[in-house]
Amino acid sequence: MGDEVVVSIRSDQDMVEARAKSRRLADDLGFSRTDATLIATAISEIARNILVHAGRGEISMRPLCEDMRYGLVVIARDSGPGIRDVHRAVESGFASRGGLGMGLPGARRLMDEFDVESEPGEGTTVTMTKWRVPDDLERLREKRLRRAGHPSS
Amino acid sequence: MSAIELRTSYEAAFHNHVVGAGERSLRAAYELGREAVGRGLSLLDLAEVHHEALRSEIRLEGVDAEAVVRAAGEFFLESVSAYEMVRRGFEEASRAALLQRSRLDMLRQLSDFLADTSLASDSPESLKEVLRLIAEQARELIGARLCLVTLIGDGPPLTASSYWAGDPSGTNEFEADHLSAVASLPHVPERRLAAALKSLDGKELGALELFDKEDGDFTAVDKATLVHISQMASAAVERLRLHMRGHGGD
Repeated sequence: MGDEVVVSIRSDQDMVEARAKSRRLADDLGFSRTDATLIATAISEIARNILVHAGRGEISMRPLCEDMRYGLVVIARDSGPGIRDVHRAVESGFASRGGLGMGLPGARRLMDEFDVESEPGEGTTVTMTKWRVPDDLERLREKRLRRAGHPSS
Repeated sequence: MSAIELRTSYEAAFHNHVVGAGERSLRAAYELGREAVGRGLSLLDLAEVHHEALRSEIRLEGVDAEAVVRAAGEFFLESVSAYEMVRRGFEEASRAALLQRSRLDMLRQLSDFLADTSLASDSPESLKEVLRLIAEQARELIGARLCLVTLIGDGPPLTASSYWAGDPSGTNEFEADHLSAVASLPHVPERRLAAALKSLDGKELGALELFDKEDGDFTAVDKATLVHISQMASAAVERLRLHMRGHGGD
């Protein structure tokens, strides 16, 4: 599994790069094509938010490996105007501009974990994670690999 | 974007994906789906447009049908991802509306019960029973582990409680356990929600307190619900006390 990947977001083309890198990372982690598409969609929504509200920022991605699951963590940062009411920005959607639940609420619904830190004038940091639980066969294989790597255990 | 404009753009973007699949063309698919959602086109419209685009591509001379079908799958998945985002939002809104409706039903039931003239008994036990019911309904409605109702007056305070210990067989009925449960709860403001019970002339009658929300912290909606219950409870308590005084009780 690779290290952290960082993409500067300054234009639409950077959004394409962030999507491509997330897809590659998701593929390495064994996510399904459907989940990889959902991750790419969430990244697009967050990147769009950066471009529209802050003009520029960055998106970093890294794999997570826990005992029983794999994860892909995405952190989006910008130094834009920030969000006055984070709760409202994340929870609403149908009543807000556009009214269809895309943007931040849309990205939240596509991922498993979602957190926004923001203060007016202080920029915004969005952290979101998608998890994948390995199936029994995968777990068995990993167990064997670990044993092969550590014969004493 | 009309259905016709969507069809033209979709066919062109799909062709680009077939001849040079990559993240750029996948992003175009996602943007088309997003635009279609924004314009209020249905998923059926999009599926139809996709089908037409696929058919046009397959008809081209010397085409590798298998490669086109594979590309069509990738492209379609991206284009419907915006619909998935909206579907999840709709599901979330439906769940919230259902919860709201269930809360309204329970509030109506409680209101009917408190307005019932059969409560107008002269026995102090009747008042205690009303308090217990208020505690139970408030705890259940808002999803807290514990609710305490305290009435103050000339004599010693009168309390009733409802406690959910996580036991699926039902709420714990022992009041002593309820009080020890209060002592064991962490005393952080976010874990407690309270509303005063007040008479019509503003005199303090007591308080309604909730502790330890089952999932997360208490919300603004929880606070509004508790205030509503406390207003209904205050009116019922005041009415009962008046009735008992009239009949020499309390």
